[in-house]
Amino acid sequence: MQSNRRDFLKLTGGASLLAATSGTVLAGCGGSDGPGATAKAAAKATPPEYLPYGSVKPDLPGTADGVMPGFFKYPRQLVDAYQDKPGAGAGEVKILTNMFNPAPPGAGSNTYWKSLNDRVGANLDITMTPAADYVSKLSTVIAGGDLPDILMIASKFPNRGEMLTKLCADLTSHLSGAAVKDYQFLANLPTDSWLPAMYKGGIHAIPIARSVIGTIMFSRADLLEARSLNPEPASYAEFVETAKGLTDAKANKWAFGASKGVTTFIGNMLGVPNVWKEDGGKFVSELEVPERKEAVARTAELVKAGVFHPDALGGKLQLRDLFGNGTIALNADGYAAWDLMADTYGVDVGGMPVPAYDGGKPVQREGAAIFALTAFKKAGDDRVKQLLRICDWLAAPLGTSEYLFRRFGVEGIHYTWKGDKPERTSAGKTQVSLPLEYVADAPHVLGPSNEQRVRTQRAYQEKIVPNLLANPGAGLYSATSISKADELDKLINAAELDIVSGRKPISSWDDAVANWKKRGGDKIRDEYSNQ
Amino acid sequence: MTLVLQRKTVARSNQRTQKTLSGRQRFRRDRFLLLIGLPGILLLVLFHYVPLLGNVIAFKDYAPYLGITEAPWAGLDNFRVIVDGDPDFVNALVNTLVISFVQLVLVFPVPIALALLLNSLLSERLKRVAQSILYLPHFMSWVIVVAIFQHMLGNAGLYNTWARAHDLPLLTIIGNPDLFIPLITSQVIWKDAGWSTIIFLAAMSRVDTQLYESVAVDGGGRWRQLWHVTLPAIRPVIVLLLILRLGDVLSVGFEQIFLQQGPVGLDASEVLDTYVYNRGIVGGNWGVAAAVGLVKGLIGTILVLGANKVAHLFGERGVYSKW
Repeated sequence: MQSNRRDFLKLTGGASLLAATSGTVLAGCGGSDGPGATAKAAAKATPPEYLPYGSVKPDLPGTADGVMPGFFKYPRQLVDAYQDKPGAGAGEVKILTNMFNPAPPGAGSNTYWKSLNDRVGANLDITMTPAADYVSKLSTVIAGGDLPDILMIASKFPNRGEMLTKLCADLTSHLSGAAVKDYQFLANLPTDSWLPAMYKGGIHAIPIARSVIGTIMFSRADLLEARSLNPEPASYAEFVETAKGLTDAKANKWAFGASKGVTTFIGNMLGVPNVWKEDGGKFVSELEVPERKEAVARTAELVKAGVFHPDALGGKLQLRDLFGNGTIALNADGYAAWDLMADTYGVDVGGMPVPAYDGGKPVQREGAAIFALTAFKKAGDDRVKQLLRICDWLAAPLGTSEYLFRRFGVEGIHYTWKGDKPERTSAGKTQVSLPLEYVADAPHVLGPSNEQRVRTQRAYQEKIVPNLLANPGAGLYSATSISKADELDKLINAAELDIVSGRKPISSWDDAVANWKKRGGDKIRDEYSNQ
Repeated sequence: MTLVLQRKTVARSNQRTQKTLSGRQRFRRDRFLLLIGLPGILLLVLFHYVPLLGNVIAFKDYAPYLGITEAPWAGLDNFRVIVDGDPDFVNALVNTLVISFVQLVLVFPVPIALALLLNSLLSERLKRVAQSILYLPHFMSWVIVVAIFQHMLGNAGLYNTWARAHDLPLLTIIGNPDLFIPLITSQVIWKDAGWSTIIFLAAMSRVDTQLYESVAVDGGGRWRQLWHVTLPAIRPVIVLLLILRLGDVLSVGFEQIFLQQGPVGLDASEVLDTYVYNRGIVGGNWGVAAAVGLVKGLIGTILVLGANKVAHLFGERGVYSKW
């Protein structure tokens, strides 16, 4: 945060004003497709065909209800999917995306980045913003009017529908239906992940797909074992027992580092709906069911019981680091963090399945179909094709040489084979951490990693998949939700934090929910119910 | 007495000559000065006045993807949060005023006192060392200052971690809404009080030492010197800075507060600047943000003009004056 708000408004106000007076509104976006153009596109767009890419057989096949395919080792017979350089002739390609890990060395002193540019055939200029600040960064970039060529649109970015249709390239003619065949790895992305990329009938972005597994309550299996605590509590009472057993204030050891994941976990025990519940065409928000309120109250009790890190509430702790070094032992995070944390910190990670609160049936929230969308600045067809090919190249899955390069770099410099496992060298560890998976990615699989870990992950998934609960609003369109989701989330999060930290009584929850309804919640419900 | 009279006549005759010059003559006379001023004026117009036109989005339903020209007019809709007293806005306004008032009372006098202290130091060397130490925190960004405070006093900070391990009482300062205002006020003092002494010290250095000697001859001690010489000498500067400070009464520092909002919650920490950011820029309500910012600017202007008028009534020069 370098400048204050006033400077910022002066700058942005000035910039867009100048642009406006010189007749090039948002000059960054070229083209002049009015609303009419998108309306025309609406008629012809169908989701891209799903053409699974199957060059490698998994050791454990995926299942129809969502268990991911598992791999024990890296295939050594690699396919070179691209014979040419995907971005040849694209020159400089500016990319804006988020990241979760420390920033890698810059392009000048990063041999991985250099060989990436070399293989892609273009100069990738990647701006990496910490995930926590990404929405703010994106807002300011858009307001500035100078969009990068490729940009990640956070899945809760306000007004993303209008933003995608008005500011970003229309990909319909490139990807709709069978047209996607030109991009075999984009065609490898499942259909449900494409739906959020379609607005007003046109395709305006490519998805960064996610599996239905969603969020997992990760545990430090080694710490649990050392203290002989129950890694899979069977009820809320046992869960609390485990949390208390993991806490040792004097030694700066705590069960949790953030309250939100705990509230959701307890809510899952109580069977709280996944954002929305549909009851005979009528939508009920999770916020309106009494179990949701109870989950908040239980979390507040846990905070009082002292099982949270002292700076857990409202702080921006580096949760993965704290989990890795053992300061906290339980941490809710996306399923993809399992391998990440196990590999980064070399610790034994486990997944804690949601137990029933006290008898009854628990739920596991189905994860959203996407992490985010990747959109392109408006440009001529040839340019858009180049950008799509770069993304297609980045989305190459396991079994291709492109994938291995993207994940591990160049053999001998960034990794060496150790048996069937590519192992990062010290150069690889620092350099191969460009957040390319937040530009475009293949659908996720389990592994490849050692067989035991994959089997543990598999067992966890098999246990929770029967409890998966979908969000009935996920496939529906609500203009209010698209423009206000972030603001409404903030409102509820702030109210929740007030209660959990003990600043306000649990009774204040009802006011917050009433406020949520008034500020847009009720409108979202109406929009969903009328579809 | 005669001296005063003479001065007045000189002043009057100057005025007379000014009046006799026509606009063109004055322009010709000052053309080089105007030329020298031109780049500065251009910068001012380009970066301070032209962007003011962007305030038009306060009356529009602005969205970045539409641009200013295409965004539909919204009349006074955006001002509704102010007029109707949206509870979040009122909360932000009250917090801003309370923090501003506390800082006006507690922070504003600190550099004056500090400057007086420094000024009374006899050893030049000691004075220079003390000044350097006092200036230093000013050059740290708020991010660093806040991080230092959190690492020292935070719930998992240096002291509390140590205290917890030794069964000593804990300090709940960070994350305690009741202590939020004292916390940020002390941060402001720590960071900027030293820097703000510069202007007062400069004013003090211009005081004629003969005046001190006269007080000493009349048998006045240090307090008398302070009261009858130093303070009257720097009074115009104090009034000037106070007026300028009043213009900023609705801005209490965005970064510092924004960085510390998480642990204490919005009820205690939301101020107008963060409200505009959270609601407007992050929430996508650009029009509302601009409306609140515009009203804030207007109030600041009115306060500066009003305070300047009051200063004139009390015989001070204020920020500017017509004559």
